[in-house]
Amino acid sequence: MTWLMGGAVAVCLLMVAGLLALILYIGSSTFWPLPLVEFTVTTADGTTRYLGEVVETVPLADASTVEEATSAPMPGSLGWLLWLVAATITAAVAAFWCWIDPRLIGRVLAGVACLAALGLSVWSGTRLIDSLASTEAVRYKVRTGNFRLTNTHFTWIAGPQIVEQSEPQWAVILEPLEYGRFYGYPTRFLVDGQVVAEQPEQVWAAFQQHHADVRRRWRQAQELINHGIGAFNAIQEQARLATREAEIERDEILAQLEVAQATLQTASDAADASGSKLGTAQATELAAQVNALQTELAQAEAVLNIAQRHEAATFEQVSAQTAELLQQVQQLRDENARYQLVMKTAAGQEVTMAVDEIVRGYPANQLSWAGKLGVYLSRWGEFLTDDPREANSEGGVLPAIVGTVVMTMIMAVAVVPLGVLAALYLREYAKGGLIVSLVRIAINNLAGVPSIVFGVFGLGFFCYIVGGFIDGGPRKLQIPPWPKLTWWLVLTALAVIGTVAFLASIASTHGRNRANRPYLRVATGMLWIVCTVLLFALVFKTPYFDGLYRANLPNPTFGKGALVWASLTLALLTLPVVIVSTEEALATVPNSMREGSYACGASKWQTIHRIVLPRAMPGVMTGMILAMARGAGEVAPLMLVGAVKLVQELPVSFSPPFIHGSQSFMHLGFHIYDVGFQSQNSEAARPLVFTTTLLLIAIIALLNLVSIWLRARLRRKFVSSAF
Amino acid sequence: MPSLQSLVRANSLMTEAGPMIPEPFPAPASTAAPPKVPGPAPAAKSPAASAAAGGRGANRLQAIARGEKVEPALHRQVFGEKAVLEIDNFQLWYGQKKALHEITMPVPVGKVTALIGPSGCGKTTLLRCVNRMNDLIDSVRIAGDMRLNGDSIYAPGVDVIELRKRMGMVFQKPNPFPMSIFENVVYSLRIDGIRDRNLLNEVCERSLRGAALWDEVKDRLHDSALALSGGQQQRLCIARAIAAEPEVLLLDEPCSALDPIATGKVEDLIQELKGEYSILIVTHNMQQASRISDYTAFMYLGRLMEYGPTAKIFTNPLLPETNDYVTGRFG
Repeated sequence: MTWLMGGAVAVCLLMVAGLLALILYIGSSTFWPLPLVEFTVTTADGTTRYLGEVVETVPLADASTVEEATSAPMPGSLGWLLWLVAATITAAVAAFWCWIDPRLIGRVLAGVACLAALGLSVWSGTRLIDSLASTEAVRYKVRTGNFRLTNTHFTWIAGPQIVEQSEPQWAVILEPLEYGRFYGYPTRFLVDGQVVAEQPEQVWAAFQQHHADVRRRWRQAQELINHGIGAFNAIQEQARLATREAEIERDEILAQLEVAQATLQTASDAADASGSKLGTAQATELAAQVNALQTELAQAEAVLNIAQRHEAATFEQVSAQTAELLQQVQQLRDENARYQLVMKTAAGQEVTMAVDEIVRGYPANQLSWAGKLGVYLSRWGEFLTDDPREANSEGGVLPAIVGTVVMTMIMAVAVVPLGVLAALYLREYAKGGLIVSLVRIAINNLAGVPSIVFGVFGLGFFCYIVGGFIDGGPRKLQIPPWPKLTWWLVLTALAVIGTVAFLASIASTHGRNRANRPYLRVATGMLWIVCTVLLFALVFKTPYFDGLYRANLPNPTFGKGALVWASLTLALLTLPVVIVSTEEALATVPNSMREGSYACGASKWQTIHRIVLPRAMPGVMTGMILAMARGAGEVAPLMLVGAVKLVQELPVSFSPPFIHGSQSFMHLGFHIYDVGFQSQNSEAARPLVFTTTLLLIAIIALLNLVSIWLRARLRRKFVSSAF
Repeated sequence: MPSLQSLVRANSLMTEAGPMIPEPFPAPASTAAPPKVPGPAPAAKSPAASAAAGGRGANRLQAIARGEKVEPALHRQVFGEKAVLEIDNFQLWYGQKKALHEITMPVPVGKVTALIGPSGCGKTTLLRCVNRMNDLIDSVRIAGDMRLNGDSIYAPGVDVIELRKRMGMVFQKPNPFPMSIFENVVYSLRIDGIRDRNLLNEVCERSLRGAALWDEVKDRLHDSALALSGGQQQRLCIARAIAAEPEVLLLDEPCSALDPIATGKVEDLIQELKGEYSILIVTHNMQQASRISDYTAFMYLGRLMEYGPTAKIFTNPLLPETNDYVTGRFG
């Protein structure tokens, strides 16, 4: 039995470790520069040359060649087999060591060693498969790039067709801003259209000499455009919204005035017809009203006028500033346009490229280890700190990192207080009974609801209803508001019922004979339900609220997928986790501590917040860790409530309100889905899926480590054992 | 409401003639209303029958087993003292089960009063009723009353929290709070919202000195209280209980979780606290009761059997059952 259980644990560990090792291996090797290979291939009409990186080697599906290949294995196979066996044994030993070592540091080291050995064994395994297949019997998947010329990123080359295979010294990889990688040979370097270098080494030296400066100017121009123009747009948008707001005000007063004038007309007509004194008095009153409205209208017109003039002035000012800025940008670009690089592809075509648009370039076959490491680190740096390019398949993922972290933080801030309060009520205040059991079952079931359902709920409730209400008030939701009198009457009713409900609550929980009046509890519950309904009705039928962003309508501000709504949806999704773990933590607080506190004369709340909660804090933190891990990795609901493929601006900034809750955001999980399966260039971007996964796992691990560290601190403080 | 002493005197329970079995003790008028759930049938025996029943131990125990009412033997000395706490015809039910039967006893001020008796006799229940800890249990119902320095404990409208602040309680198992030693001691001041640093320091030192713990912990007042040894933790709990200057100190088997040395220290401490504080202590250790207490009450199956000066109870008890119990022949 022990063996069975141990075996089960071992199988689980192996699967998890295998998955992690795979992600670690592929994810971390994505950015490692491969050598460039030039193939000369026979085709029907002569020979063709291809230059590219070999990304995959598979055996040919031809039985005869495969047989031939396996009968004569390559001499390197045995070496790779030994490597594989050695690495696997090392991994097993390291795993065992990790299991038995009593010291934490020993365990960590052994765990790292185990993962490393697993990675090594995966690598040597792939090399073994590579070497088992002879040159004759394989197909190479070569990343040949040059999409702008060939319309394809990859070429399959069959082994038997290869006439010649070499790694030319001056084969160069360029990573331009667009169209994916470019492979070729440098032939000329142009400055102002004049050839300054023609030999590959000279051309490359010239390129390297100018590249850094050119890129610096390019970044400068980009910065000017992104921030300068963005700021100008924001100013102009503000002015436009002010005008629109004034216009709405004016239109409303105008509408009121028209109604008043019509009433006055009918009233005065009637008065004329009957000639009664009463009618005249009414008409006079109405006329006064119309006059007042006309004065208001004049004021509103004046405000609108000012706003319009301000908008025009802003427009002029912004236009001038934009023109100036664009001129600066143009200067930088003109300077950059002087430098051009002429490349020749393997097929012999010449392509002139602006140095400006080349992100990175290196002669792959000349790189030393240090050089390769430099390229590798530079690619990681770009990945972690840059915006995405090329439909997310190139460039960095900074917006996605920031989006994920900010969303998870807001979610934790929302879910922890709510979950802890709910758990406190269930465990400390509610008396056990049918209803409490039902609530517990409901909470546990909530954890099993498919996450997409939460997404649909979030979209329907948060985005459309709450967001729409914030944007445009009840009118936006097509709810006719109550007249003011009705609204105030209902408010009074709410106040009265609320007071009665409050008194009834006190009577049903504090009275000496409370056990004799079970109907009181039911009645109290009913009253509270009525109160809640009235409160909602009051909020959603208010005539006093027209939305905070009505000037921007019909463009929604909060009434669409947004960072806050995504966070709140995920908070709802992870609520059961927090409630359950907090409840468990509360249950482990010994009753003797509560009694001790009561005996000192503490009230229930004092006991809870001074004794029970601090003691249960580690458990609460555990719940938070679990919730964060679950929330950060969730994708399906986010697709509905605010995660998007690409955003220009980060959801956090250094200008108030610092966190822009109404913005859409990028999310690493969604990014994985998008890059791997939605991108036009998904084949080339697939290794990025692993890299992004690795990054997401690392971020979740980091968030968890911080929480675990906090929890350990709390534990040391509150739950050190005495005996 | 007539006071307990006057009632007792009016019924002339105690005579100077020496030990005798008291007459049936009439319930005070205030607690005459019986609880809804019927308890065991009230005793309908004549004083003579009662006296006859008390004549031999076996009969008295059999009467209890039959559920009949048995009158306690109260030594007159206990009424000679000024009482800090008067327990007045107190009864308690856990659901349908009656756990305390018509208990009436005064607890003298400035003395140590011990409650002894076999397990399950209700002594801890009685103690927990003094500061209304049993309110926390849903199924508990009570009848009768207790008075702390004349103020009713169970009258309607009594603020339980204010009431508990007038008493200190120490539990069977040390239960220091998960905070520093200092914060533990001044907990009851903290919950009153007292922030005056000097006052807190002063109370902390006074209480820790009072609990004979000051010298051991004065250099690590801000370390976790959970790092103390079991005996130190229990003395810390005593310090916490006396920090608010309680009118009565309730000790619920304070030494049962401690080793002999720690027990000795706590017992010495109780001796020192005597006089300054009125102490009601539950113990199942008869030697302990005889060593530290001035008065001893013997309880059996929810009934008060005998209550008097410790020396009398242990050497010359009125009831043969008490004698049997303290000499270890039953219980």
